[in-house]
Amino acid sequence: MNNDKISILYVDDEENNLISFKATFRLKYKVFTALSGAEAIEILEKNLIHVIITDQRMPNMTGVEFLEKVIEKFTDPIRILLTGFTDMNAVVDAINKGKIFHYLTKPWNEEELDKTIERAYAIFMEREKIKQMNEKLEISNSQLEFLLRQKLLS
Amino acid sequence: MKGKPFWLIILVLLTAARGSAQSAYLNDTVTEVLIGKKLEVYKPKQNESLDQVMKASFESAGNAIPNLGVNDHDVWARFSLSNPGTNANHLLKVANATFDEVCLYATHNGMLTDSILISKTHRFSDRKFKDPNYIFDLDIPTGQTNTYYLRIRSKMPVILPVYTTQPQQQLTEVAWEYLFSGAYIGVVIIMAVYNFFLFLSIRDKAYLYYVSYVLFVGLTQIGLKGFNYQFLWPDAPWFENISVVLFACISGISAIFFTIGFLEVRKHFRKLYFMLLFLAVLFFIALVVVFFDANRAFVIMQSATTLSSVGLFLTACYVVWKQPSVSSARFFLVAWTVLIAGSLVFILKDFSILPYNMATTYSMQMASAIEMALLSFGLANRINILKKEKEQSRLAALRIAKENSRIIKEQNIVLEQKVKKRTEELESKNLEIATTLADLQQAQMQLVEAEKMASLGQLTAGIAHEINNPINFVTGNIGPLKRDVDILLQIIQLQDQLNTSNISDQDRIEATNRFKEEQDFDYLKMEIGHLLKGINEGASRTAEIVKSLRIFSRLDEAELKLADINEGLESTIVIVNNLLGHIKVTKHYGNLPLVHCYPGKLNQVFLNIISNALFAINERFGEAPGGELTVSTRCTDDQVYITISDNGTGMTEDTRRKVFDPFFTTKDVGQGTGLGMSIAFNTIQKHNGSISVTSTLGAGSAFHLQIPVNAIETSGATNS
Repeated sequence: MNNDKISILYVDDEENNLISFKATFRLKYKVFTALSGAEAIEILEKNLIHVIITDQRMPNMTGVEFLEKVIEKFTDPIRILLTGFTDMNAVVDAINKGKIFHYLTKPWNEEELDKTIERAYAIFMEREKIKQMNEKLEISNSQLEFLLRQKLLS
Repeated sequence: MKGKPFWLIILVLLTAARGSAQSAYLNDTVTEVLIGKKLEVYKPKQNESLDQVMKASFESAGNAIPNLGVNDHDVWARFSLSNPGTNANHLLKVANATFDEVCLYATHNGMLTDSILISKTHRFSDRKFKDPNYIFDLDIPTGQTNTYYLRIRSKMPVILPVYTTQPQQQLTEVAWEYLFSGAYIGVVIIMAVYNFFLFLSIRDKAYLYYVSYVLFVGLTQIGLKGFNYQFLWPDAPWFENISVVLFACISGISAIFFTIGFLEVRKHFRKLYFMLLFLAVLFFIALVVVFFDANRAFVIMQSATTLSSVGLFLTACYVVWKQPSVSSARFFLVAWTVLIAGSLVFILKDFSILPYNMATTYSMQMASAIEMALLSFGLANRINILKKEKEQSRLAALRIAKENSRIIKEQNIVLEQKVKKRTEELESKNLEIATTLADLQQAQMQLVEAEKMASLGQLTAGIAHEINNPINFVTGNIGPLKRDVDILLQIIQLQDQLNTSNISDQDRIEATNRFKEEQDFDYLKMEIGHLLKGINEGASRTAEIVKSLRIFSRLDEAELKLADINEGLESTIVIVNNLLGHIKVTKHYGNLPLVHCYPGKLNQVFLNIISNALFAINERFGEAPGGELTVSTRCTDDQVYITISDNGTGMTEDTRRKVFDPFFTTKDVGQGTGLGMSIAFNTIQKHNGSISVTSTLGAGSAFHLQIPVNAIETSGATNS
């Protein structure tokens, strides 16, 4: 487990895409791939994932449906929709229901995809930082409260 | 007549006899002798017997022809006759046929010696002398004087022309009577027949009344002379009893109606008309009464006749006065005047103002004949009037016709103008319609195009996905492949460097392996394989899709081509590939000849049918598996058969019937244009083929297409 590498989960029913994606980003990121939504959810349960990239058109479970399920259990990963066709309904659903961070079209532009992933990770990290700071604030808050109470008693 | 000398002698004798005593003398000269001056008459208050009468007191008649007027009872006449000559064969003639009954009693010295009764209650054939007049044998021996009593019963006025005569003379007299009456009858018949024929041709009722009038007047006149009883009904005394009144009434009614018709009284003189009707009613009453009481009927008839003759005369006068221009009325007036004059003469004779002779006794008949003739002239004249009227009406009709034709001509001009205007309007309308038609055709074309675009657009989503995926991994693979190749090149470079340096083989192998280890060489080998395979697959898939698209759309092939139907079907299925999902597609392609057709259009038909089939399957199964699409083709010598069936929702009978109607759709608004199947139908028709559908609701539908192998070729010129 390499902690400083961004871990990414890519879901697509087309295996060639999975191979291509993994080959492109495997050096830079920690890449997980899944052929279906169900498979992806299994991976999510076992690994820490920063960014989820999913295809929209898939049999059994569409990208939006998959993302909806993800939100129920895993709120942290940043979600990106990658689709071959500008289906407005799918995009609207993805934003409203899948609460995606970004929408990308196939064929992907490696550079754009890379930047998007980095930005997504940045947001992930920011949120993480805010979370940690909130925790620290709570701790210091409770310590301060403790001190205040002692002062009042004395 | 035996010559003038005898006549002269008789005249002298007669004048001599006139002054002499009661008794008349028979003489042997063959001539008639009127013995009226010798008559004594007696009019009792009731019917009396001879014995009573013989005691009664007679008075002198005073006239050559005594007129005893109308009597309710029998009247009597008495006279004495002496026969100085040798000839006992003398006759007594009572020359009045109107009497009902005459009885001659012969007495000698106050003793009844003989009595002869001649009555109309007996049959005519029973008479000894077949003569309408009453003729008796006078059997007086030479030198003897007999006293005779005549008992006369009559409902008419008793005019008593009594003659002594002899059989030879009687024959002569009869001949004269026959001559006059025959002439009269002739006139009547001629007038009747002539005018009856006129009636048949003109159909004017006045003629018929005239005929009736003439016939019955004739019968009445002849009846008065007694000829009817002699010749027409000698064996019907009862009818003779009523005949005169009967005929007189009918003739009277006829005369009245004739007048009404002839002078057009009803139209022009209402009051006269009702007066005449009243007279007709009088006649009619007499006509009815005669069957019960002949005597009373006679009285009524007589007064009716008198009134009528005056009434008709006045009517004629009035009409002539009012309408002097009507010549028929003048004829009528003259005729009636003549008749009245004749009657006057006849009556005056009865009152001995005029002499009693052949002329006066036949004055009625002569006047009647002249009247008939004049009336007939009047009627004939009427024809002229009618002709004139007809001529006038024809002229009027001609004038009207001319006027009409003028109006029609004007109307024609107006109509022609209207027609011209209408024609122009219609022409402009026609032009409008033609323009509209052209617009509509263009709109239809645009609709068809739009439908094509819609179905293409519907597919674009799938095709984009279909085509973007392979392009994605082709392009996506290039980057990592390049990187991998770089790594490989680095290894080769490292090897080269190591080869040129003086490092031991051991070190060199170690360094190489370390580098390989570093770069995960085994994984790299596998990855390169995968990437190359991906590129290969992506490229070939893209090519296949593009080829299918090209085959499907055939945008460059709007004209007739020899095409493979199976290839078209296959390309269509590739186009809809992304819609298939879990649907199982079964294909049974037969060995088909190339079909002369518009392949692009046929593919559109296939696409429409297949996408409908997929829609129906998705409706039924949704995302679940189980859907099946079957495409099969086969052929005969000149026909290609295609069946596309699905196990979707199927159709109701109503839908099945309307499926080819334009704008009919079962999809929601915006989902379909409703033109797909309509276009399919038209396209197949254009190919001279046929398309039909069988369907079971809830179990699926099947479309059956039949396309002739070279149908378009035979009629392509008209359909293209």
